[in-house]
Amino acid sequence: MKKEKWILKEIDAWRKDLLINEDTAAMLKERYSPQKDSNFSVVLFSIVGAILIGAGIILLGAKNWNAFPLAVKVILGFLPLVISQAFAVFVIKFKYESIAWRETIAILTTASVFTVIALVGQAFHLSNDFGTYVLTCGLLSLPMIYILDSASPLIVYYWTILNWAVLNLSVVNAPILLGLFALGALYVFLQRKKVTTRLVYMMWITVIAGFIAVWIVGIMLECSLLLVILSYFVLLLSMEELPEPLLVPLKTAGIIGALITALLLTYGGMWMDRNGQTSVGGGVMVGVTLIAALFFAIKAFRRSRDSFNFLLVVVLVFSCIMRYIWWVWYLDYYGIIFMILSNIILSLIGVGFIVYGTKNTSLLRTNIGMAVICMLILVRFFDSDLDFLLRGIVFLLLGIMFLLVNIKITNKRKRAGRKHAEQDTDI
Amino acid sequence: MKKWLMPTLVLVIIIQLSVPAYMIINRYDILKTGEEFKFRVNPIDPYDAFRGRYVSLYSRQEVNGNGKYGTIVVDEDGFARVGEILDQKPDTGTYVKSGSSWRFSLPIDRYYMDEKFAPKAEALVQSTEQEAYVTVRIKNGALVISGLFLEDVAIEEIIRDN
Repeated sequence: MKKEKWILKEIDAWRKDLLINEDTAAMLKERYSPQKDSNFSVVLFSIVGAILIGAGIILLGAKNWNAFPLAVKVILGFLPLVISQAFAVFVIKFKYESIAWRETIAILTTASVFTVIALVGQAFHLSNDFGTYVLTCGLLSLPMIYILDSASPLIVYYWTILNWAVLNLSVVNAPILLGLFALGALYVFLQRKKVTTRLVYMMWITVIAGFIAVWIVGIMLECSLLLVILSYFVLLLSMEELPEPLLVPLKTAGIIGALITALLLTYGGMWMDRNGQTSVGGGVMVGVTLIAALFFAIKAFRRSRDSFNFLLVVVLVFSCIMRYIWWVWYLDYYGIIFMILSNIILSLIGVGFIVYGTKNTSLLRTNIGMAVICMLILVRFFDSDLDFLLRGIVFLLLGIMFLLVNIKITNKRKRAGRKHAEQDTDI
Repeated sequence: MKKWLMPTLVLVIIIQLSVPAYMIINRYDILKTGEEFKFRVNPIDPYDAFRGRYVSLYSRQEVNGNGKYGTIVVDEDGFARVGEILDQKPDTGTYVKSGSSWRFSLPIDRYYMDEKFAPKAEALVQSTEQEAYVTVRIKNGALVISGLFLEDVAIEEIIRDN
């Protein structure tokens, strides 16, 4: 018996004997599945090849074959689509286990959809509406992502919806854009139990596409962009109910984004000159996002008792509420108070990271905390007219502090390692 | 393999084929049965990465207004122009739906051509005093361009002869 088949049989047995749960069994099966294209380069080159062929088909369609009558043009336009659809049937019947086949055919079908719709526009000299064109193609290609379980057309889908949204900025289109984004993100969510490198990349792309989508929605709803973006990052930070590798993109983007946004809020200029109308839609969106973030954070806290992440979310939610109050009531006059509060909040976050990092000998968190404090001091220096000598001394001290803390934590880790080794020898 | 995959794929194939097919049938019907009009235009030659090279058309009539529909009026010289701009469909007469949701715009802006023909078409129009116009077919507010002409001769014919 092949070793892959043997291990799959064993996994089923472990599950039956309750040694592992359903989720772990699914993850192990995905990892040891013999049909899986373990060769990443094969998948990658198949996708690149399919993209090139797809682009070739699109360009051939764009040539505009004037010599051909309309009927021939239509047949030529439909031909790549029909062929790629036939291949999709073939893949489902015989090659569904091959990621390379699934990804290739999904990309080819997507390119064929773009070609045929472009051909109709070309043959009938349709008026320019690029937004509608790409959205039509994106929506027609979307089901292939789910049916062929293929990730690469998801990038094309996000590109189409974001393009459409940018070209059609209006309040009515804001919920439509969020709905369209959810249709793509749902694929990643549904696949969450089968953690693969491919899925982690898709999560990164979804997080980035989500950021752009939220930004555009903020513009559509004429809401404070910093508020909308900060609430998005808080939501990313609050999510804990996913397998660890999928949390990396959420947490990384969440922490970096939230800290940068919080840093921007420490500038006095950010709390002045409130322009535009107060849109109800913007308030509702931010409200729902923050409630969801708090819900996830409380749920995660109850499960893991990790107070740090919970407190971080709560503090950032408070920061959002503060921004919302300023934005709704046009509180430019009290801008200085909001600025001071924002500085205090970011200092607390920085100190929190340092304390938590030192306690748990986590160099990353300690360094993040120190970077936050340093950035805060740095930007305040640009704000005020302080002597160069003083600035120089403060930065020297900060640099020394950075080095000392890192050395201390490294030593602490080494000591702990030695202790463990000694205990093991005693046993 | 999951049981729902094949029926769903068949459904998606039908939708993917139906959308362009519907677009073609709809436009083809307008070309065959729609009412014909001529609009004066100024052509220039740009490029679309997906749909190829085209002659960009600018209507010589300046249309200003914020409505969804424009009535079509034919002048004594036989050329059409936009008459009234309305928010509601007119009860009588030929009308055209706006090409933009922001303000009224006549949906005549592109005439797709062979990549070698399009720059020649622009050069030809720029170098002569001859009048360029498009023929369109209109039905139920929808408009399809049927040809680009220079003094009653199709632009493709002139370029081929040159």
